[in-house]
Amino acid sequence: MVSASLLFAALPALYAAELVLDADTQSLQVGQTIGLRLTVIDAALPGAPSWPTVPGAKIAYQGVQQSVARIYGKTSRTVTYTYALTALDDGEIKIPAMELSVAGESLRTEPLVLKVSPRAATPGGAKAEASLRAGGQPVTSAYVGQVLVYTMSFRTPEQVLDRRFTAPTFDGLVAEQTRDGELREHRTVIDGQDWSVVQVDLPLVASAAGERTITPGVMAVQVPELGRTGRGAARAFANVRNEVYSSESLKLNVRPLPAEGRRDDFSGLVGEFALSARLLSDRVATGDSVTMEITLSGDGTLAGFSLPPVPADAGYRAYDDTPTVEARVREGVFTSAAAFRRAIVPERPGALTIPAVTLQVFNPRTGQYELIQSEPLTLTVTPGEGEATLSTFAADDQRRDVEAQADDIAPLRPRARPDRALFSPRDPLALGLVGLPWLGFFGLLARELAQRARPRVDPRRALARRLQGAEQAEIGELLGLFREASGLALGRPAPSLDVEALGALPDKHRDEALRLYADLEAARYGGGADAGLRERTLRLCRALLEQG
Amino acid sequence: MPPLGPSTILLGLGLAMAGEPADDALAALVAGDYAESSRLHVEAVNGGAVSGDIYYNLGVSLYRQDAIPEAILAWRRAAVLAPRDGDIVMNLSYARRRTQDRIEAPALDSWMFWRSSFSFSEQGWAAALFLSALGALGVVWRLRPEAPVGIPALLVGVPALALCVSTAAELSALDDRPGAVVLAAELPARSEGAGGVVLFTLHAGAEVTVRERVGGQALIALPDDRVGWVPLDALGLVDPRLPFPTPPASEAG
Repeated sequence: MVSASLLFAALPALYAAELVLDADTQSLQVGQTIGLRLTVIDAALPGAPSWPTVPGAKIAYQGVQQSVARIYGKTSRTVTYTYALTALDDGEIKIPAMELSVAGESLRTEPLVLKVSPRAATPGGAKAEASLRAGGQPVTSAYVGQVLVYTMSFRTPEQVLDRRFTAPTFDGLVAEQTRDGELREHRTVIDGQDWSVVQVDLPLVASAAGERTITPGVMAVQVPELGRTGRGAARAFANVRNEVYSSESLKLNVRPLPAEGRRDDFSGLVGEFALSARLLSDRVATGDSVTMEITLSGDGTLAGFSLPPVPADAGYRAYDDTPTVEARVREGVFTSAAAFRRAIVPERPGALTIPAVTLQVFNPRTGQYELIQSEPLTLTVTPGEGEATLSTFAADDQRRDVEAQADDIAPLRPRARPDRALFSPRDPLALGLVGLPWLGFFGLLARELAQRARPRVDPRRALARRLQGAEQAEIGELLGLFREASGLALGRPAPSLDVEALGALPDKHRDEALRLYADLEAARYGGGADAGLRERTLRLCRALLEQG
Repeated sequence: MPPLGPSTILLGLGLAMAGEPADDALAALVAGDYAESSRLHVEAVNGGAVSGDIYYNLGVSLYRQDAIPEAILAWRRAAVLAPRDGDIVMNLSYARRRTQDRIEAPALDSWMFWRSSFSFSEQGWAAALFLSALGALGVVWRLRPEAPVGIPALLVGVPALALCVSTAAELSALDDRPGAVVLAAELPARSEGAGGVVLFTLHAGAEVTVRERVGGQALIALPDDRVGWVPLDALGLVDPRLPFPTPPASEAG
């Protein structure tokens, strides 16, 4: 739906594209968030425009909405980009004119000025506070390289259902790389009253000298709107209210590290550190290695730090593993520790003294450079198997990586040969490969079909021939002839005939057939056929054969 | 089995003799005589000595000669024969950067996913082998009906069918709708053959698809489905079985 203001705004746009910027209200309090809308009428942007930094405000993109309206018979398309604007300081927020180029046409918004008043006292005393801390104590100055903890604490007597922290712009500070910030939430009792506390700790490293201003941090919380709806347990499902609180801005003076007292081998570490070292074994054979553990801990950042190299004439070689660095933030205090594992390979037998590891660090508490060092360690080196003559080569290695001078196509192929197997469906080899097995298959199939189609001997003729030569047939053959003739008459296979099946013969033959079957069975088990039985059988068979 | 006819014997003889110009062409390429190398390579492929490597080397010598459209055509033909060759793809991308028309080739969108990985020749021979194996299983089945040939026949028959279809699709694409490379410096595409209005103008090295061929004219299509008629002799067809166009005689400085 298009709001009335947009309709009026769209009136001049009947003939041209236009940009319109408007806000929910022209006056707001510190920490209050209002909606800011950029409306594009009859034009298309490639995406949501991003705002330049506006002093005293934080602007975050929220979404886009499109609508089409018909005004004075003309269809107008509007695209509205919505932003959330949060006031950070009292005074005025001046949103400068935004100029965009759309399809070759330059569109411009009018500047917008919002009045920001100090935040009215919140009921119950909800409050957000921020500070920069070093060693747990608030500070207003620091040295380049020093670790500070930005702490924002928010407390409210109401129950916090949800919270979202928006970090300020850290001018001259960068995030510490080995430890992320953390947000903790707990409840506490102050003067007999319950408070919800949300605390954010962000470890930062001062990176650039000068006077720095840290903009306010913003905490958006969701608290229950009790007393409006619901009663008893149902209050848990009551409405919620969104509140936005901002802290005050902070000033920080970042000082450069002094040049006086800085050695060429300054480690770059800023903070209070302690260093210790130990050997996992005090005896090793020449050529073998023994592990040396070096632990460095303190309240400065150890990101990217590596131990100084061992001199070439030290009498041993050293190989460092990737160190393990752990850091944590507790009550606004940042601490970190790095564990280095260094493999020591002695070059000759005898007593080997590994000198102390010495580092120059800058201590921001005293404002001076200090030396920290571990204890020297002694190692007994025994002769190894086939003691090797070792040479240090790292310092003498003058080689360099081969540099690419140009980019080109891939090189030629020295073994290019014609492909003798380019496929074609008419290729004799392909035809033979496929055709031969299938020819064999279809040949076998054709032979089988031919065998099945071959005409057989007419069973009637065969039976007639058998009857002609059966004048002296024995009982077994007579029984066979009887079954064949009956089977032909009934259209059934002879072996399956029985008395029941014979009952299906025509009336004029059925009785004689049943009698003859009984006589033949009796004669078979009783002792041969007589002339009468043979004559009856042949007669009935001929009759059945003639009947068809 | 069809008898080995005279044409087959001549083809075999041609292939056996075809190695020589390819070797000479390679020697000329190594010596840096790109014009001679191109001429000998073309002579070799037009004489039947066809392979992905030979077309690849032809592309290299043409590229060195600054004959970019012809080099693209040679490498496109090489890619038909050796689709898994990464060097061809890389060289094509080099050559395409030196053309004028930005034409994005559409991705091969087919359920026959193996088509982009295997050449038509590999697919064809694989189809022939699978079909042969299927026929052999049929023979076994008729000779020994009790032999368990059902599952083997299925395992052989399905790939055989799929490969037959994909080979037919490849050959059909090569025969009926081949890719083509514009060889002319400027090529107006018209609405009707030699007449009609100019719809768009292509430049040397542009890659199109030929949809129809009528007389000396070809109906070409761009990946965005715009079509137009152009003279056929201004195109080089991406069919490695066809003669390769005569390369330019002069060598780039």
